[in-house]
Formats: sequence, C-alpha cells, structure tokens
Amino acid sequence: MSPQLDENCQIHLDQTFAENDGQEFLVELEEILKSSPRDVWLDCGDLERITSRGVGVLWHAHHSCAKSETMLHLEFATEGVLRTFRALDLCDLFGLEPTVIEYRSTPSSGADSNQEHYSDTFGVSEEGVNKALIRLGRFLQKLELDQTLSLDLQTLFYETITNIRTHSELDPGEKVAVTLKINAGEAIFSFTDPGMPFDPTTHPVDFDFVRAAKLGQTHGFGLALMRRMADQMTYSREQGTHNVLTITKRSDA
Amino acid sequence: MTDNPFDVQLLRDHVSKVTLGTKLDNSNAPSMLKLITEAQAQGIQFIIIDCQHIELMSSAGVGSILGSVEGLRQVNGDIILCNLSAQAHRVLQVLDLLDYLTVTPSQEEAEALCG
Repeated sequence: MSPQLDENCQIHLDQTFAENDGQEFLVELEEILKSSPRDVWLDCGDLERITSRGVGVLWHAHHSCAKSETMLHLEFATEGVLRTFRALDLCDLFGLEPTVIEYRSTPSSGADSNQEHYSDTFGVSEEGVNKALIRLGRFLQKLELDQTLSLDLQTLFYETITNIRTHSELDPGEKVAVTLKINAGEAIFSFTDPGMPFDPTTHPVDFDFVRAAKLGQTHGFGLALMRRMADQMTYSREQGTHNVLTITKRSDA
Repeated sequence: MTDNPFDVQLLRDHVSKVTLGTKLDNSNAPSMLKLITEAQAQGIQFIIIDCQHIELMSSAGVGSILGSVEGLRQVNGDIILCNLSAQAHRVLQVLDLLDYLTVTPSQEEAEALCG
C-alpha cells in the first residue's frame, strides 16, 4: 500500500513505506511540499516497529520538510516505534515529546469489541489546544465510531479545555493531560490540570437557553453545554494540586 | 478557506449573508457578535448564516448568535442558519435550540423567509 495523504496533510504509513529507500513516499512528500503546508503529519499507527532503514527515510523526510519550513510530526506512534525513537533520542525532532500522544487497542475481557486508549498532553495555548483537537479528531476518525458520539466527544473536549483555560488560571506553558478510553459504545474522558480548583459539576443541568437568548446573554454557555452533553461527570481535587475531571459519554446508537 | 474568517455578502438592501469558516468558537465569536451588531445598525434585518463548512461550533459561537437574535426579531428580522453541518446541528439539538432558532436546509429557503 502506498502512503495516502488526507486533507489535513496527513500521510498514513505502513510497513512498506521504506521499501526502495522510501522513494515512493519521498516523491509524494516532495509533491506535497510544493504547496508549502505548515505541518505534515505522519500516521504511524500501523507500524508495529521501525527499522533503521525506516528511520533513515524519515530523517530524509525531516530534512526535506525543514527546507520548506514545514513541521513534520509523527503521530499515533506505537510502543515499538516510540522505543526506537527514544533510544535514538529523536523524539523531540519528530514532535513525539514533550507532547506525548499514545494510542493502543487491547482486547477487552468479556466483550466483543476492543478497548481503545488514547492519551495526550499539551499546553493550553490556543495553538496547543487546536492541535490537540485535530489529533483527537484523527484518533476518533480511525475508530469509525457512531458519528454522533464522535462529534459529542470532540465538542466535550473543546468545551472542557476551554473551561480549564478560563477558570484554572494556567500559564500558557502549563500542561493538561487527557486520556480517553472507549469500549462498547461508552467513552470515558479524564482531564487532569494543575490549575486553581474548579468544579464544573456544580453547574446546573437545567439551564434555559431560550430564556438566556431573550435576555440577550452572549456567554456563559460552555458549562451548560458540557452538562447537557455528558452522561456523567465527576470532579476531584487530587493532592491539593490537580483538578481531575472525568466525563462519561455513551453512544445513543 | 481558512479556519476563522467570515465571508460577508449583501444579498438585498436588508439581507446579508455570512459564510462561516471551519470554526465559530472562542477565537471568533466576539467578531461575529460585532458583525451582527454593526449590520443591524446599518439597517440589515435578516442575516443568513451559512454553516456548511463548520467543523466546530462551540458554546461561545452559539452565544454570539443567541445574544443577537432577539434584537433582529424586534425589528421584524431574524438570524437564519442554513446548511447546518452535522456538528452544528448536534450542538443546537443538545441545547434544545432547533425550534427557537430559524434553521433552513438551504440558502434558497433561507432567502425565501426574508420578505
């Protein structure tokens, strides 16, 4: 299978991408770089491991991107790929750390479906959040979930992070850690941030949006949307230093 | 089309159309609110908002529309949302706003409501 580019400048790699010194992949990358994209993302989710030849091809790709002032990122790196990049001290160069994105699928006991795990850690700058939202969207796209569940998870993610930015008084460099576990139509988010204590579960669920419109209210809807969209929310303050918010969302399908 | 700018067109003397980019969120909701307020001040009664490209309509985005709609209705106008994307439709559905806001499947149907 040859590499495939999607509309977000993402290339899906499989185990054959480094064949013939990666000529096919590198030619395709050069074509993409003609349009001077800001970022190119390499989806490594199908690579169980990477050979030295594969690392060499990616090294070449990195230099091609650098010449075009394009950032090259690896994403959905499996443990095998991460191990190699850590050993070669190349994680920073390919954007694998400090933003750590991991994805794994494990058989779920007593159920037909696998349990899917996703974790991401990122700064709460506007750019950091936007990129994290794109990564989450790509992860959900891979799972081919029910569309409504997928849309709700992305909306919940954005609203939650926005509330953390608004209420937790974090510096742009401080990081939020997010995990998502999906199993048999149930998704559980966990958000951990080192900001000021803030408990969104105290906000009422029965907020009247029509009344708010008639009063000309323009803001303050985020918590209400989260409460309506989530099936369950729990909050705790951990060790006096971190907020931990857990959100459960079940598929209606 | 980039993420956040709006494309604004005057369709008739009293009808304006705003085509959204991929987001109506915290980053551009204040601009949307300002745009609607200024249009109303210039005598625009109906604002058609084309949501076909929207990938993320956040609560702040909804707020920018919700906070303006009554002002236009008071002058026999309205904000009409057309071509709702799946995400925008879902957010309005969760907030029970699909009946309160005027929503049409197409721009043509939106224009037909503008008198």
